[in-house]
Amino acid sequence: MSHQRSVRELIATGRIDVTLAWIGVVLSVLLLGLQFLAYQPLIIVIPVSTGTACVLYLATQRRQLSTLSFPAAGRLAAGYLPAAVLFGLAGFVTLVFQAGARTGPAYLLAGLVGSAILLQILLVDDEWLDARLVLGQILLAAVVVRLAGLLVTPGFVGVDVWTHLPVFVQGIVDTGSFAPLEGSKYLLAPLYHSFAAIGTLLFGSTRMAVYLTLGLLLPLSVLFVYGTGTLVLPARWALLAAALYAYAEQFIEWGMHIIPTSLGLVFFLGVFYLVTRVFLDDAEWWAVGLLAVLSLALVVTHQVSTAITLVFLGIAAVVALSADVSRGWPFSASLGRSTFALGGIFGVTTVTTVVLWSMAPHGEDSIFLWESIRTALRLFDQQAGFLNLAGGGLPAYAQAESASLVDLLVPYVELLGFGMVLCLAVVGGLVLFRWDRPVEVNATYQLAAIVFFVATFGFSLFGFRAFLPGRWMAFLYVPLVLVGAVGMYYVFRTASSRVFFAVVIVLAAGFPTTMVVAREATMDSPAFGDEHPRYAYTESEIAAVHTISEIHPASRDVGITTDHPYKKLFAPLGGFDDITLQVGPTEAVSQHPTVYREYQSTGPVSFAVPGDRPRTTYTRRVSSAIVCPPDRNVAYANEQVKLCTLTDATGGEAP
Amino acid sequence: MTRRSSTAGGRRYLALVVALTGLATAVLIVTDGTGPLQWTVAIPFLLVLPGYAFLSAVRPAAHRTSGGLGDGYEIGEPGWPIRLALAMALSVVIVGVIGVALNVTVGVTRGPAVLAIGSTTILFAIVASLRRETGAHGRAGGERSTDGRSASAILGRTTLQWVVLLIAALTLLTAVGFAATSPGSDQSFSEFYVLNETANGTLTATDLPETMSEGEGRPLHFGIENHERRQLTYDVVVQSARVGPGGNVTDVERLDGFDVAVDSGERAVVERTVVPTEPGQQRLQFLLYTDGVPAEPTAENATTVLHLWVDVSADDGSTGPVSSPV
Repeated sequence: MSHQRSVRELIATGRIDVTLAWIGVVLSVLLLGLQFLAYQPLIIVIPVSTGTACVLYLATQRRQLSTLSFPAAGRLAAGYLPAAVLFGLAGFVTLVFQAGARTGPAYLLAGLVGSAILLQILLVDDEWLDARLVLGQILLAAVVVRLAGLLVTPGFVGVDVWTHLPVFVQGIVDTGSFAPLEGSKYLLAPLYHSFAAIGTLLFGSTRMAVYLTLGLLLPLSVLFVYGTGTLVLPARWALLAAALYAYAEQFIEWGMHIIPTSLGLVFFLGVFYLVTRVFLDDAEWWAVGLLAVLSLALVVTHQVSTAITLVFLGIAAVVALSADVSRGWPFSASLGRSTFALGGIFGVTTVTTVVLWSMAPHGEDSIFLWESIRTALRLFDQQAGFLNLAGGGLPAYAQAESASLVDLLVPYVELLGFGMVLCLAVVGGLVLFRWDRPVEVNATYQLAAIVFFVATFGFSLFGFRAFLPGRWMAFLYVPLVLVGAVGMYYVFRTASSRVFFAVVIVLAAGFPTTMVVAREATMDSPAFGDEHPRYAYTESEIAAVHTISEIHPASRDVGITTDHPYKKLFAPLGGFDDITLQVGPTEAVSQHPTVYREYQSTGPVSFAVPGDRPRTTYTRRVSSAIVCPPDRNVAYANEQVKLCTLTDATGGEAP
Repeated sequence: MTRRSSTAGGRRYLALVVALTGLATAVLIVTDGTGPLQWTVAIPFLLVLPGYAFLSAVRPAAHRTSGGLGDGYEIGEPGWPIRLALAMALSVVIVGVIGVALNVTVGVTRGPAVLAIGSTTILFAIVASLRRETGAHGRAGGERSTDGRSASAILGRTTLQWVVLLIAALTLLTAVGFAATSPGSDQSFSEFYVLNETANGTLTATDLPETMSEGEGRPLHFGIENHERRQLTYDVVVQSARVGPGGNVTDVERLDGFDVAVDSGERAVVERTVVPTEPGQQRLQFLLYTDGVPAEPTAENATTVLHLWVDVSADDGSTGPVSSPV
């Protein structure tokens, strides 16, 4: 009891934020020490960001809130920067369509466009800041940056989309039923495929249907972030949150690799807005109703997104209940409308999820729920261990060559934007303890950010990746950018003008550009092509898959082996088993036909290690002679791809 | 804004929703094609109108604010950004659910899908209109905002700033128009493959011949697919090569040659009988040319090359020299 009282006193006097900031400094220093035990750029970026944020907060927390005056150039910026943004986007479109891909200069231009938007948000005086005009620029930039890349890329961008669209959606269109989903977990979560199939019927092409509907919906869903921001922040800072999210590399990724995860993310953004609204508006019935609709829509769209949303709804329900209890403690606690609404929706969504997952198929003989639990337990058993990070244990020929300075810097360049958002979010998270908004909202945002952060990075630190941490990142960015906007607002109100403008310049110059060149945002055409493979294909690579699947059809005994990710096309389009080609020091090792493509000699694709570790892969550039030794037949070829088959005429077996 | 004017404004939006839905339904039902016209009406038909009508039917009543939070903070009815976002998200839900319903009834086909989406949207619009009729709902107010500031921000622009902004917008539109009318990927290539006819008459690359007899013909099928974006006459040269221990070709003999015209985007499969003239292990090479056959056709100067290893037995059944496919 006394402990509780002391915690409440700390909150009331604002001391808990200072205590946590000191703890943050200590933990950051300790975390930095982990780099001596394992190499992982995040082990440096995370503590540096959190440590800097905590020090910044401690340095400013005693200052009086004030309002900085904007520079005189603000009016000029307000007048001409919108035009600069439009000129920049026009240049971006021209560059992309002339080059046939998003290239380095185009990425740089997209980054400059983002900088121009951020400068308007952060430097233009209230009198001249037109929120609608800035929001329009954010939406336009978000749409153009994604759609231009999608439309110039043959086929689709990403891996799983090649199963969802050509197999599931086109199958629904061809059969007029959901029969192609049978045996898949999507049989009971068919909303994405159902929508895309109807779109295909009207557009005549799965690709155009998805790009011109969901491809527009994804970037435009940043409106949810802006709307949520306006509920808790002045409009300028809501715009900041929207701009940060629009340029977040993970949000760009799901706007280009458009699969059920993408749609789940859109619904999650709606859920986030509505939960905030339910807290602030005392659970108005329409908001509760729409929250229920979107929560249930998530359940029938995507399983991982559902799990993430359930965590968020659970946090909101617990916070609402805790707030009610603390207000009436110890005798007169009564549950408010928000608590009933959020608890009810959490309960209904959980029950619906469990029921559907326990009925959803997973392969021919399994049930999704049980299979998921079995997989999680198995992975926990196999992978768990402190600092058990991915990689390691490769034979000498598969080890990376000595890295150049550029190779070493690339991960830090790509993580710079994330580090900035994390830094602002930590400041904002500490500010929320003193924030003049309902405690339920503050606590929900803080807990959501912390729990999502732990799910994304914390479990990975212990080698446990069964919860697909990569999928959480785009969801994690939602509380991060909103709380980060609070942090930036705080810096604006407390820091000296010199510090504030320094932060603005670093953010505007660094954030958009490092985000648009990051690996996740450039799957179609990596900005760092020596480090990251391209998850998109040329026309001749796609044509080869179709033709090879036709002339050399899959059978029980004969598969096709090639690099990762190219193999991911042969599985859905040709029905082949998903096998990565094993490549040893001098030659490929395969009893199956092998497929060579020129990109294997120029791009960082992956191959499997021969022997008893077929699931261990490594990155390597190989010559045609390694994948297609001269003793094999070449039965198919185009200018970029060839199919090499075994023959008894030369001894029959590969080395 | 008075209740009367806001209700009239809301009715106008709903009338527009009904009109656009009716237009889209008519266009998508009457026309079978899938060109720019259909795309133009299909985007709002799938992505905005159903959700907007639904939201109009369920959205809250009067604008109200909750004060006391400072910074001009207020909770009103959702402004246009959130209404648009909710409309789009809800549209996807509604269309998706309609697809599920079609799956268990008449099947997921175009006509029923268009009619179901159109009628559902209009039904929601009617419900929304009736709810407004009862006087319970006013037009949505702004979320909060900077609208007052926006007015000065907009009106305060200089003529030069307006002109520059207009030129920038036109430049972007021109760039997008240029991109929209560009042909897209301009990669041109040809596919070339060799097939064998199985006992059941299927042409496949899974069962290519490994043995042949000297002087006896063996039919092979050559597939060529033209992705060069123009009609093309291809030349194919068939050679027999012996390979030395170092992998170098020691002896090449021309066995056959032919040409075939293939239209852009089409495929041709040509059957030829390949007759090896010397016994022994050898590599049959099939060289494809798109710009005519050079005086000395080799694997290096061909556009695309295939090869097939075969053991050729002599007339007397003996085998000849062995190549070294290293």
